[in-house]
Amino acid sequence: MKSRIFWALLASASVSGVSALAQTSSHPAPPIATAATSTAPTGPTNRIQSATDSTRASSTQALRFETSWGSADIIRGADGPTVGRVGWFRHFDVAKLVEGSPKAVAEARNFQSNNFRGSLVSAIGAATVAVGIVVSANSSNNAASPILIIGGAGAVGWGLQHINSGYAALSKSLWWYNRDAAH
Amino acid sequence: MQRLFIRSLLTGLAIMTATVQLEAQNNTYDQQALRVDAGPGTLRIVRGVGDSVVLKIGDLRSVDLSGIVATSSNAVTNARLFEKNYRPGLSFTGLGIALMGVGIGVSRMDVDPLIASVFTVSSIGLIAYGASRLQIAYRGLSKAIWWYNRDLKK
Repeated sequence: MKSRIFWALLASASVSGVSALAQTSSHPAPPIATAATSTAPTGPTNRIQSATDSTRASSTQALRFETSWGSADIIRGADGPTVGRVGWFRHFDVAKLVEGSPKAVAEARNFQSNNFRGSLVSAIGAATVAVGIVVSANSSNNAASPILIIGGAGAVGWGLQHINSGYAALSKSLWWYNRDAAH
Repeated sequence: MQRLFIRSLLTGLAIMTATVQLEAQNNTYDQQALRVDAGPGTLRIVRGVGDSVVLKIGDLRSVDLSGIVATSSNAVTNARLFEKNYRPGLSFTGLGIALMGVGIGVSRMDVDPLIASVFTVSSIGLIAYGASRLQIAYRGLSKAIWWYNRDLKK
């Protein structure tokens, strides 16, 4: 009788162990190369270990960004290293950085397209405004100069709006990445 | 046999506790974690998957970021850094831009070119000072949110 209860408990313990592991695997964890995560949990004891390790990993591996004179540094941890710099015509593959989290990747792609479009249009707009100012300074009665200045300013505004939306997407991307990295 | 029985019972309990804790962490982050979002002409701090707006930053009104991140001491320190630098940064930058406009206006009038130069140099100085204060403020904001989200999981 006793042995039956024992085997029943053992079976239930292993079933709950498997279900706990299955729950974790439903959130694909980003490939973070740390000592805490490089050893795959294979049993109940490791599962408990990984629960504490996730907190430790998130405290050092979570990403954030800081804007810096027209660009943004992607930083790991509170005071950690800069892992990439994004901004005006700067190419850094954010989608690859956050590839472990599908939602983060989608937002990163959104950032990349908005940032490129915004940078291009605002740069063209700024150049148009500069040409308009030069034209107006050289010949005050030229009808083209107000068109160039207004058109250029509009393009700069449109571009900046896209850059702004891009940074919102970057923020969301890192939010999802940090969320999935912790689980 | 009895030892084995107790050991397996404790193992099962430990696993169940760990699973419940992990699920609680998931829910906490999904509902409580903050991030910065860009609104029309403003910055917004939004909470959770639902993106509920908890703070709008963008004008000269004082913002209570430290109150929002009060549960984390490190976040509060950085939030105070943001609060201390944001409004002065915005004011100095705005003043610099206004002064530059005045400088351009003065340069087109028939006055001493030195006056226009003083306006231009002062405005550039003010804009640079304001931008550096804003830089410190945004760094504080980024760190405050990071620490707040990090301490949610504890």
